[in-house]
Amino acid sequence: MAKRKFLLPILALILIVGSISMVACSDKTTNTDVYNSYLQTIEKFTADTSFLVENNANVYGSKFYFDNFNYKTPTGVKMDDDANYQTLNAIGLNFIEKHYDMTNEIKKARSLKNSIEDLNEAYDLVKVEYDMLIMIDSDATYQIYNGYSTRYKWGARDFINQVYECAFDLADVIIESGYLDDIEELVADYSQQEEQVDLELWNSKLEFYIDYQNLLVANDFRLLLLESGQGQQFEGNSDYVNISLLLQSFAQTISTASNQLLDDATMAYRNINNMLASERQLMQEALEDFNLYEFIENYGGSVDAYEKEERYAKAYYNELSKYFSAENNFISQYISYIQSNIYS
Amino acid sequence: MAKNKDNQSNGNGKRWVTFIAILVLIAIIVVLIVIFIPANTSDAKRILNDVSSSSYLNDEDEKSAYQTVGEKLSSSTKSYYMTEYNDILLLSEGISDVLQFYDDYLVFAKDNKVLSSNYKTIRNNLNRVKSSKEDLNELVATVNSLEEDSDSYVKNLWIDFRGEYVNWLESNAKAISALNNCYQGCFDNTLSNNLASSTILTTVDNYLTSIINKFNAIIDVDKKNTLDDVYSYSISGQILGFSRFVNSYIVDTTDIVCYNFETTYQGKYNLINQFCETFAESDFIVLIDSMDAEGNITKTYETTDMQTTIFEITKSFIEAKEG
Repeated sequence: MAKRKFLLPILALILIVGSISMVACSDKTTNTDVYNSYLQTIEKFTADTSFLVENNANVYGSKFYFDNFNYKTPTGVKMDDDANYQTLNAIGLNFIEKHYDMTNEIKKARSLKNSIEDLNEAYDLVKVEYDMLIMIDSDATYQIYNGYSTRYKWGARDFINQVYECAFDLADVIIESGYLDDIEELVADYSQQEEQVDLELWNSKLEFYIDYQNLLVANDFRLLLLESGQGQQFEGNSDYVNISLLLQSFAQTISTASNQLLDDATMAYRNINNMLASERQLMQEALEDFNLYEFIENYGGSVDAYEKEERYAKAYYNELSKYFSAENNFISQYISYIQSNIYS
Repeated sequence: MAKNKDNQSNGNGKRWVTFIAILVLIAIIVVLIVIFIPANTSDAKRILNDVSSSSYLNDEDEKSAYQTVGEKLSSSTKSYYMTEYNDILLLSEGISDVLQFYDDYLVFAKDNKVLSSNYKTIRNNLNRVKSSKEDLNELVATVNSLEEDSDSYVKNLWIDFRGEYVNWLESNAKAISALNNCYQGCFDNTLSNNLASSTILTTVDNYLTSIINKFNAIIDVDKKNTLDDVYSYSISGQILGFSRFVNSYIVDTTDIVCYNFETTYQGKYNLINQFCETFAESDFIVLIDSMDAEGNITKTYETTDMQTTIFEITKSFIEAKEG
C-alpha cells in the first residue's frame, strides 16, 4: 500500500512531463502554412525569370524552362541541350502550380511541409550551378563545355527528380483525401441522371484525374531517360531518339486545349489507365535490372551483349520496347487515345 | 500410493514431451513448406525464361545439319518427303517465335497458384523437349557418318526422325498450353492480357493440336517396310496457316497492344469469341483441320447474315492472310 502511494505520483509525473514534451515537440504546421509555402515557392520560381523562363514557342507552354540550358561544341557552336529535360521539368512544375491550391482545403496536406522544403533545397542547389555557369560563360575566354555546363545539367536532373517527388506527394495527398473516390459513381450518375450531377465538381475532378494520369506518363519518361539513362543524350541510338520524339509528341498533345472527355468515354479511359498502371509495374520491374545507360554505353545497344551479363536482358528490353519504342507501343497508343478523346 | 503418483506424473510427463515433440515437428514441417514452396515457383519463372533453349532448328548449326537430311531425301526415290521436310522447318520456326513470346512475358509472371499448378507440366514437358531435341540432333548427326544411304535407309531415317520430331512437338504443345494458362493467370489486369491475347494464344494451342493429330495419322500408316503409296501428306495448309498466324499475331503484337485502345479490335475479338457458341463448336480445331494446302479454311456452315459476319471474321483471323 505504501509502495503504491509512492509510485502513483511518480507515474503521474512521468505522464504529465511526457505529454508536455510531445505537445512542445509536435509540428504545428497547418495545411494553410503548406499552401502558403507552395504559393511562395511558385511565386519565387515565377519571379526568377533569369533562371526559369517562360517559353510558349516550344511544343509545351510553360513558365518553367531552364534558362541558358545549352552547351558549346568543341568548335564553339552554341547548341540547345536536351529538350527532354525542359519538357519533363515543365510538365512537373505545371502540375504543381495548377493543383497546389487544393492543399488549402485538405488538413492532411500539412504532411507536405518536408516535400516543398526539399523542392526549395533542390532549387537552391541547381541555382548555384546555374549562377556559376553564367559567370564563366560571360567572362571566360575558353571553352565551357564539359565543365560547369555538365554540373548545371546534373543539378537540373536532381531538381527535376525532386519536382516529380513533390508533384506525386501533392497528388497522393489529394487522392488520399478522397477527392477521386466517387469518380466512378459520378460517371454512372452522369449517364443516368445527368441533371443531378454537379458539373463544376465533375469537371474539376476529371481535370485533376487527367492531369494526374499525364503526370504518371511523364514520370515514365523521367524514369527511363533521366534515371535509367542518367540524363545522357544518345543521339546515335534509334530507341533513344524515338522515345525522345515520343515525349515531345506527348507534350504537344497535352498542350492542346482540353475538350474534356465525353461521358461515355470516361469509363473506357479509366479502364485504360488501370491497365496501364499494371503494365507500368512490369515496365518499372524491367527498369530495376535493365539500365539504359549501360545498355547503350557499355554494350553498344546490343541486347545479346547485355544478355551475357544480365540473364533476362532481352525480356526486359522487349518489355521496355513494348512500352516505349516498338511500333504501336503502349505510350504511343495512350497518346493517340487522348488525342482522339480528350485533346481533339 | 506415493509410487502410483510418481508413475502417474512420469506418465503425464512423457505424454507432454511427446505432445511438444509433435508440435515442434509440425512447426518444422510448416516452416519447410513456407520456405520451399515459394522457392519452387520462383524457380518456375527461371525455367519459363529458358524456353527458347528448347526451340529446334533455330540456330544455324542445327539448320545446317538438318539440310544434310534434306539432301539425302531429295537425291533418293523418297524425295516425296521433301514437302514434309520443308514444312518442319517452317513449323519449328513458328514454335520458336511462340516460345520467345512466352519467354519475354513470363519473367514478369507473379508467383501465384496458377504458376505453381502449371509449373510441373511446364518443367516436365520442357525437359522432354530438350531430351527429344538431343535425340533429333543425334539422329541427324549420324546421317553423314553412316556409309549406307540406300533408299530404304533414307526412308527409315525419315520415319525415325518424324517420330522423334512429333515427340518434340507434343511436349512443346503441352508446355505451350500450360504457358498459356500462366500468361492468362499470372498477371494483374495489364494491357497485354486481354481478350485478343487469350483468343490468339488459345488459337495457337488449337493449331498445334490439329497439326499433331495429322502427324500422328501419318505415323500410323507410314511405317518402315510399308509401300510408298500409303504415304499421304496433307499438313502443309495447317503449317502454312500456323506460320502466318504466328507472324501476324505473335511476332507482330499489334492486335494485343491495340485491343484496349481501339474499338475496332474490341469488336473484332467480340465477334470471334461468338463463333463457338454460334456454330456449336468447342474450339477452332475443326476449322483448322479443314484447311487446304494453301491454308484456306474449307469448312462451311449454313448461316444467317449475322452468323456470316461472325464466320467470315473468324475465318479471316485464323487464316491470317496479310492485307
